[in-house]
Amino acid sequence: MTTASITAKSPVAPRKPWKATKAELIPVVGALALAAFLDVVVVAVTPMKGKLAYALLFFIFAAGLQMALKWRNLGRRAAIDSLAGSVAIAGAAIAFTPVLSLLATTVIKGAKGLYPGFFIHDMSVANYQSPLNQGGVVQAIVGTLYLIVLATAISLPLSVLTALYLTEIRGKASGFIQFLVQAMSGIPSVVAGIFIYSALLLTTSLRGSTIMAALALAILMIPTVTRTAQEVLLLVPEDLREAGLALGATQWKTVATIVVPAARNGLITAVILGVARIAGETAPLLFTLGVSNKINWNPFSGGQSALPYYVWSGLGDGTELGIDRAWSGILVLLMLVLTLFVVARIFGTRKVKIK
Amino acid sequence: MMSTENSPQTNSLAGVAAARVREPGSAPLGSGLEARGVHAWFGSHLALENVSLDFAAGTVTALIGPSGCGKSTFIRTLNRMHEFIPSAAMAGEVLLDGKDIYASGTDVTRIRLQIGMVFQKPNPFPSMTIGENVLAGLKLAQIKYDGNKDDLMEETLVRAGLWNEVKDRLGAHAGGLSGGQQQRLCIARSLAVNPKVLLMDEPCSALDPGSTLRIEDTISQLSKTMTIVIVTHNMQQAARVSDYTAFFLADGGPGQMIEVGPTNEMFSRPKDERTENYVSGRFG
Repeated sequence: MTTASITAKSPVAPRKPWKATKAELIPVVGALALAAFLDVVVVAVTPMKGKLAYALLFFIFAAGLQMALKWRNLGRRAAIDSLAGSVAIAGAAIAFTPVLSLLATTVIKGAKGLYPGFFIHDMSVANYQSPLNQGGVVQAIVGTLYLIVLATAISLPLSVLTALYLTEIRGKASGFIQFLVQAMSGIPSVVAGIFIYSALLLTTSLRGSTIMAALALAILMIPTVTRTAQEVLLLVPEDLREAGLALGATQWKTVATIVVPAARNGLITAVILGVARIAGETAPLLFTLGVSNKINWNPFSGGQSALPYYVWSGLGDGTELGIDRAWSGILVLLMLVLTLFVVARIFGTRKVKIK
Repeated sequence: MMSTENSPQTNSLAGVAAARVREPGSAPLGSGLEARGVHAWFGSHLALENVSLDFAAGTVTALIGPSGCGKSTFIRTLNRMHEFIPSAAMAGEVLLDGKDIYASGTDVTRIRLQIGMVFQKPNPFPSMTIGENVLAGLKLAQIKYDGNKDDLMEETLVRAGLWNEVKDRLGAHAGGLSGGQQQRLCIARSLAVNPKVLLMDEPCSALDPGSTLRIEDTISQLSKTMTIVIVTHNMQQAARVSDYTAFFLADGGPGQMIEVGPTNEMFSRPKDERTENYVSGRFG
């Protein structure tokens, strides 16, 4: 007979029986230790040498031993499952090693040229061969911020409107515009620079300035933001649109008050990806930005500086001091972009109160 | 196991339930499942408190109760699907043939192979044909099937009550089927790996009455060979298909099981006043 037992409330502790217990972890950790030991022994006694040999052999031994352990406990299916997991971990490790290495190199080499004045002074008081405690990148920081803000201001409305045309209006030209967006994402960045140069600078009396470079960067940013915005708008469930329309809303009201807010976090990601696409671009700036070694607050006339341009010049200078300055410029660019992303996430994420 | 005496019926549902009495001597097949003191948490929120429930082999048990009372959470602890939610935790035991499925060293994929599940929304695999969907379990669980796969496909589709409708288009994609047909396809898919227990989480909530009746027929047929647990909001359905009914309620606090008993008794003379109110439609 089935019986209900609604007994007195006894404080029962929540458990997670699906997590490995300490006793179950001992053989796993043991296998990893054995793999490390075998790794050292094999590298010592065979001609295989170097970090690569250590890493490769450790992976083979560790994956093999974990697999054997699973096979013994749960059989062949679990062993194959374990192998697939190990391969995924190895793939992630291989993909992340260069990224981490790049980041570490930038921090180590870039830190050499950093001093507080680097963020305050401009390059009118120094040149690339000056000692590292003279001059700075403040003009390039201002220039890069200007470029990011202007390029985003130009491309974001265009991109979101294009994405809305493709996902919401789905007009007759959708297929063609989709094709153009895809083709645009393949444009080499230098071509964007040459386009603005030949279309606007060669034929008119305009000279290189922040806005010209921002236009070139916007050409690169539009396809990235459009594609991403389109994907996130497609993720908004059709039910939500129908619910809005069924309340008597117009399509514009539905899109503006329901669809776009629902896709808000994804749209912020789209902007972040777009900024990431252009923040480090150098080639389009060469023809369009002009030159300045001082802060230029006017984005519409006069040359400007930018961090990627500063890095490029430092490398072009070729001296040891110039290259050190270039590394510091890269580090500052990384920090700047990271700060912008964090700020975008903090201000972009709607605060939802969780009870 | 079950009282077959005819009791004075207080409402029409009890009449429906009384009609579903197992023939004496019909050998119950499948395996028994027993929940002992099951608690379930999401983060620090206790969603389900101390449910002990014995599902005898070859019986159909309906879990009823208002939304948010922990029925679905409970059914998901029975085949270890609860743990897919990152913040989830639980306490208690779930015994399949007397062995705790949460015991350390258990192969959880084997457990889910023996305790099948049919979901609220029909979810046939979109990239597979109807036939491939039926046999998907064999492939996914890497089972070597010695018999004739075509026979197995036909047999399971017949058991799920879908064979006549799809026998001429087994190579078509499953997306072209109606909602009710898709759900029966999902039942056939669970049956092909021959589970001992079948859990059904509101399997008919998105279906029309005709499809619902067909699935109820299917459940009655299946109960001859396996243990079935079904979550339902439809009390007529609970009365029609189940041998036992358990009533769940979350009265402000965590979900609890208020009462369980033979279905006809639950609908005719429940012991708890809250059950009485619920089955008579006074709330919920």
